[in-house]
Amino acid sequence: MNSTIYRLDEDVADRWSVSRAAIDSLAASMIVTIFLDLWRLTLVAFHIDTGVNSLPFL
Amino acid sequence: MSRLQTIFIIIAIEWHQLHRTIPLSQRYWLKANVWVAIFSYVGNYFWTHYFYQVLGASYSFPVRIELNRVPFFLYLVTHGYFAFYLTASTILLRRIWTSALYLKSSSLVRLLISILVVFGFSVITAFMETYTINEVLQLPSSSSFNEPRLAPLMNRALCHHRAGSVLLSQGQVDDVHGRIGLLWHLLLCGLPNVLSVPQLYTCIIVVQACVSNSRCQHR
Repeated sequence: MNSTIYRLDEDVADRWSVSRAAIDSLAASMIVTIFLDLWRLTLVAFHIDTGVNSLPFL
Repeated sequence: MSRLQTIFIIIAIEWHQLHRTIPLSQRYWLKANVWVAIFSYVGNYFWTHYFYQVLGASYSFPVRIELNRVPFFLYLVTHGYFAFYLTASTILLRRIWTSALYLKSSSLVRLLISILVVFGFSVITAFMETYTINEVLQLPSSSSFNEPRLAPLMNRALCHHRAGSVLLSQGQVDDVHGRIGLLWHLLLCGLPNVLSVPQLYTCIIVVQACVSNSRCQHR
């Protein structure tokens, strides 16, 4: 559940560096991208024509 | 230089002085803004095409500067929006995850509470996004940003940006500061046309300085 910016510096004993924040942000971006595409595939599975047959991001 | 601008500069310097013991790279506002900047960049660059292709949305902003067929100004506005959402979600999640009810619940109930809260907040956010985008889409494509109907939307976006910047620059968002920041944000969005931009910025810096000062005294 802790996949938000909530974690940044939340633990006083575990201060983040700038690069850790950057990597965490990239990881969160990828999780959201995967979920978005899973949702597109789910719609197709429900026979809802999205008109998109490939990755909508490219 | 106006009196307001002078106050703005004095308080900005004072605010910097309050945080001078913390190296720049270790300040919360910098790390949080790096996080939000990357996330909002990816969101605009890639996920906007999901809106276009899967959800059938389109923008009719009369702009020429685009990045990957997304109006460039949206990259900047999104930073403010996301900063606000992430700040609000941080306060909300901390409130729930540290509440007595949550802490005494079983792990399954905790999971369910978390899912419900995240889902609920997501739906509210998505609804508000759709509502504001729809307001713009109903405008004739020949409209410009100076037209009165678009002005309230841009004002809201700017309010979000200012509020987000304020919240993230206060250091770690704890409950008290979060509440002050959110209250301030609501006040600002309710009064976008009453105060001028320099007045708003001055008010923000005053609050920011007061909050920073109380934090330092608290420690």
